[in-house]
Amino acid sequence: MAEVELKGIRKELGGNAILRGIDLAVADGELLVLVGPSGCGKTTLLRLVAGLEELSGGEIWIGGRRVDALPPAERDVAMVFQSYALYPHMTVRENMAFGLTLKKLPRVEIDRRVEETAALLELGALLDRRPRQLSGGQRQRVAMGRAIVRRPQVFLFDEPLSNLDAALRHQVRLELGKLHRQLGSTMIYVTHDQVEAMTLADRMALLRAGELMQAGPPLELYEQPRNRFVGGFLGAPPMSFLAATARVDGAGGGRCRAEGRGFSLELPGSFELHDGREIWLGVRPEDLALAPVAPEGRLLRGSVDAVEILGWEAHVELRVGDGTVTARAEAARLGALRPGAPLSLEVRTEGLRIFERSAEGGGAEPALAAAGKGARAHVG
Amino acid sequence: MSASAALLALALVAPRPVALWHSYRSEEAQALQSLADRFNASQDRYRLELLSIPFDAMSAKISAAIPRGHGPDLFVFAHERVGSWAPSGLLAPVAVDAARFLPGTAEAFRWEGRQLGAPLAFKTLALFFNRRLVASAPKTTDELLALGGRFADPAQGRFLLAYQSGDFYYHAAWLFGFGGSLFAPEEGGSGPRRDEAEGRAGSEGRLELDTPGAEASLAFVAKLQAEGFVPQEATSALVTELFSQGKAPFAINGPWFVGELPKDLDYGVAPLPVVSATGRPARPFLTVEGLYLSAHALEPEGAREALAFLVSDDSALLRAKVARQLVANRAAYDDPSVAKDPVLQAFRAAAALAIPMDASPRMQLVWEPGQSALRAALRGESPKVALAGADRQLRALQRPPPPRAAPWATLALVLCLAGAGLFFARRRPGTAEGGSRTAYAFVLPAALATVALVLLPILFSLGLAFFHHRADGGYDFVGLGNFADILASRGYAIIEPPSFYFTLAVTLLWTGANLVLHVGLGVALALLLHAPWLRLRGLFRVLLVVPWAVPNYLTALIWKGMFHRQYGAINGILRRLGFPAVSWFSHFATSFGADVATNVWLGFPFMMVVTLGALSTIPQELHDAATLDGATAWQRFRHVTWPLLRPALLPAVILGSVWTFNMFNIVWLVSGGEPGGTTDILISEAYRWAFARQAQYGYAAAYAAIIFVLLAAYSVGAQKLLARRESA
Repeated sequence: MAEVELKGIRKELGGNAILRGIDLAVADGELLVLVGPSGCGKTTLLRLVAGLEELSGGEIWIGGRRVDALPPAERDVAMVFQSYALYPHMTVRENMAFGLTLKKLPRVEIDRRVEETAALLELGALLDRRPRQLSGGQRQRVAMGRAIVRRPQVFLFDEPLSNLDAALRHQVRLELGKLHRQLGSTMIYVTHDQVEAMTLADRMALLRAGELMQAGPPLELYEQPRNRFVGGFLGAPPMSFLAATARVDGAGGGRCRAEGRGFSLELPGSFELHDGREIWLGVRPEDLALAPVAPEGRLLRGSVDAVEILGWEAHVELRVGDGTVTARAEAARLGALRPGAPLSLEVRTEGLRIFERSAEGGGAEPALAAAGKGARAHVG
Repeated sequence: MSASAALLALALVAPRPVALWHSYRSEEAQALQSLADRFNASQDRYRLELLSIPFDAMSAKISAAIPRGHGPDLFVFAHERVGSWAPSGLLAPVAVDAARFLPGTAEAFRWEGRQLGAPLAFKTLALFFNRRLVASAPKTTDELLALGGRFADPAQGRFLLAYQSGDFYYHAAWLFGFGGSLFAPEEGGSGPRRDEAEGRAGSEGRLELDTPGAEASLAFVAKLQAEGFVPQEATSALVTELFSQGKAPFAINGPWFVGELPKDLDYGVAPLPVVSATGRPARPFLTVEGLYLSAHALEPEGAREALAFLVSDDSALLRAKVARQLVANRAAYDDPSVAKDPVLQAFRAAAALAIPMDASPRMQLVWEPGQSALRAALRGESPKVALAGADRQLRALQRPPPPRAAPWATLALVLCLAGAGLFFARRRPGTAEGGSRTAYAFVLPAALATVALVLLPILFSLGLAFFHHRADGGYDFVGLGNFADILASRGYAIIEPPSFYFTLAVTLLWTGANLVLHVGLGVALALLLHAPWLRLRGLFRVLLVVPWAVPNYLTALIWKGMFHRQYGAINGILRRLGFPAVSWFSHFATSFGADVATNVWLGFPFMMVVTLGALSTIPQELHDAATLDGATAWQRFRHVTWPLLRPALLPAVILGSVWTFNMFNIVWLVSGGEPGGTTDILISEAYRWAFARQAQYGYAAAYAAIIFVLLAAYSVGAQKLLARRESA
C-alpha cells in the first residue's frame, strides 16, 4: 500500500499537449477516480503512472519513491485494461500466474496466491478455461484477479466496466467497491461514466483537455463546482445554463437579481456582484419544480421543447428566452404535455450557481460565489 | 453444273500449298522467304508457304504434329534428331547428290542406309582472333599458350582465350584433338574407333568417356584455367564482352558469334589449332541444318520439288550472300563474293576437320556426364576420377528399362486401391447428401474446369508413370517397374547424387533450411516494421516486398551472376574485405548455400507479409499487460507475440514448404545441380529424366507421382495438426 503523488505532469505527443501540468495526490488506500470527457487525457495520465508512456515533464512518486524513470515492472503497479487484455492462448490460471512466473516465485507460492485470488473473485471453477470460453463478466473478474494476485502497491483501472452491459456493470460496480474496501489498496480508476465516478470514488479528479478542473470528494465537486465545466459535467441530466445579467437593487446589501431574456430571478444570499455583471446562471434539474403558481422572482416561464419519459420520472426541456433548462418531474404529473405548450417552473433559487460570463471563458468560466453549505442537504 | 465445273477447273489450276516450318530469324528468314517467292514464281503447280516456329518448340511440335497429320510437308532442323525421328517413321527419304555438298554434310542425314534429309547449312566452332592484338591465328596449342604471358592477367580481367570452357559442346573439340572419343568399340569388335576412322561419332559402340585422350584434354583445360588463360564459369555473354572489348585476343565460337560482335571490330577467323601434344587438330562438333520431308506430307511431290529448289547451288549462293549462312553446297564457296569472305572460308575449312554430331538418341545421354566430368576437372578434381565418375553416371543413365509387364496385375491393384478409397469415402458422413440440384449446377462449371485443367493432367501423368518411353517414341507398359527402380535406387549407389534417397535428403534439407530462414527473417523484419519508432515504414514495406514481386527466374539469374567466381558481386565484396574469392558452385555446401540464399531472398517477403498481418491483430494492450507483468522484450515475444503469431503462420509455413519442396526455378537456374548433381532436388531430378536424359517420360512421371504422394501425405498430416490445434 502506498500513496501516489503526481507533480506537474506534462505529456506532449507530436507537438500536441495531451496533459498540461497535473498536480494530484492519492492517499494511501484511497480510490481516486479520474473522470472527464473523451480525449481529456485521463487514460494517458493512467498510462504514465503505469510507465507505459514516457513523461514530457513532471514527477511521479509512489510510496515515497520517485518512479518516473523506472520501467513499468519496477513501479509495483498493476493495471486492469478496458479490453481486459487477457492472454488468449493461456488458461485463466496461466493468465493470473504469468506475472508471478516471470518473477520466478516458487511454484507453491504461485499456486497458493492464484487459488486465494480465484476464491476471492469466485473464479475457482474457471481456472482451466481459456478466456474465449468465458463470459464478459468472468473475463473482467479474471483481469482483476490477474492484478490482485500480484499484490501491487497501486491498482490502475482503465475503464474496466465499459465493455459490460448495463445490468452487469451495475453489479460489478458494487463488487468493485466491496473489493476496494476488502483490499484497502490505493487505486486509480479511469472512467468517463460519472455514475461510476460518483459511486466508487473516495475522491474524484475531473480533467478537461489535459487540465485538472477540480479534485475532491464527489459531493464537493457536485455541490461546489469550481467552474462552469465541472458544473455541467456532473449530474444527469446535467446542470443547465442561462445567460443573465446581475441587477443589484439599491446601494449596498440590496437584493440581487439575475435578469435574462424572458426571466428575472432573485438571487439568494450575498453575492459579490455589481450591477450589470454578465453571468451564467447554473440550474440543476432537481431545483426546478412544476408549479403553475409561484412568487415572481422564482418563476421561469417558457415553452416545452421536448419531454423524455423514463418511467416514474420524466425530463422536460423548457425553452426560456434563447436558453434551455432541463427539469426533472414525476411523469404522472405531466399529463399530456406536448412540445410547444407553455409551462411554468418554480426555481429553488438556493440551488442556483453563478459563473462568470465572458468571451474567453471557453466553457470553464470560474464560479463566482458558492451558496452556503448545507443548503442542499436533500441531494445525495 | 457449270459452277461446280468451274470450281473443279480452278482447283486443278490453282497452285497447291506446300507447308514449310522453320525457326529462322532476321536475314536467314528473309533469304528463305525470297527463295520461296522465287520458287512460287518459277512454276504454277505448287505454292510454298513458310511458317516460323520458335526454335525451342520446333522439335516437340514436329514429334507431335506429324504423326497426327497436322504437320508440315517440309521442315528445317538440325541433323541430330534423325536417329530419333527415323525409327518413329516421321521422315521420308529424299534424293540428294552428296558430291555437291561439303564432306559429311549430306551424310549426316543418312540413317540406316536411307537419306532422310538434305543439308542446307552447317554450324561448327572456329578460332576468332582480334587483328588489333595479334597478326594471325596460332597454328598449334603451344603457339597459342606461348602468347599467354603477354595477354593473360585475370586480376585485370584479361585473358588469352575466351570460350565457354565449362560447356561440353566446346570442350569436345579438345577431347577429339587429344584423341579422346565418345564411343568405344563393342566387345569383340575390331578395327579402329568409328569416330576416328570415319571422322564422325557413329552410333555403333557403347558410350564411354573415360579414355586417355579425354583425360589429357581435361588436364589441358584445367591447366588453361589454372594459369588464368581462360575466364572461369564463362557465359556466352562474357565471351562476347571479353572479345569485343579486346580483353581476350582469341575466342572459340560458332558462326552466330559474327552477329554478336561490333561491326567495327577488326577480327579474323581460323580453324582451331592443332593440339601440340598429339599433333592432331582440335576437332569441334559439326551440326548440319537440313530440310526434312515429312512421311505424312500432303504434297510429297511438290515438297520434293521445293526441297530440290531450296538446296540447289543457286539457292545456297543466295543464302550465303543474303544471310551470310554457312551453306553446305561446295559450289557456293567458289562464287567470287563468297570466296573473298574470310569468315565463310575459314568456317568452311573448319568444317572439314569437324566431327558430325552423332544423330542417335543415345547422344543425348552424353551431355550430363560429360559436363559434370568437365566441371569437376575445372574445379581441380583429378581428370581420371572425374571421368570414371562420368562413366558410372553414363552406365546408370543407360540402365536397361524395367521389363515389360502384363497390365492385368497392376490394373487389378489400382482398381483395388480405387475401390478401397471409394469405400472409405462413402462411409464418411456426407454433408452434401441429398443436396439440391441447383447447388450442384452452380458448382458444375468450376468442377468441369478443375477436371479438365487439374484432374486430367494429374491422371495422365500418373498413368504415364506406368510406362517406359522407348527411344523410338513408343511406350511399353512396365507396371510398377519405374517406381521399383526409383525406390530401389537401381543402377546407382544410394549415397550418390542421382539416387532417389540422396536427392530426397537434399530436398528435405533444402526445404527445412529455407523455411527456418524464411520464417526467421520474415518474422524479424515484420517485428522491425511493426516497431512504433520506425520512420518511413511505408517505404521499407514496399522495398521489402519487391523481391516477391520480381519474377523468380529473373532473381535467380541475377543471383547466379552475383555468385560468379570471377565477376560476381559477392566475391567482389569478399575480395574487398580481404577474403579469398569462393568458387561457389564447386562445393556442395557453398553451392547449396547459394541456392538457399537466393530462395530466402525470394521467400521471406511472403512470411513477412503474413506476419505483419498477424501482428496487427494482436492488441497493443496485450503487450502493455505483459510489460506490467514484468516481461522483458524477449519474454513478451516468447510468451505473447510468438504464441499468437503461430496460428496465422502455420498455414503459411505449410504452403511455403510445398512451394519450396518444388522450387525448380531456383535450383535449376542458380546451381543447376552443381557440383555433380548434388544440389538437385526431386523436381529438378525429375525434369532431367524427362528432358535431359533420353526423354524417359515414364521414369520422370514416376518421380512426379512420388513427389505428389509425399506432399499430399504431408499436407494431410499438416491439416490434421491444424485442425487439432484449432479445436484445442
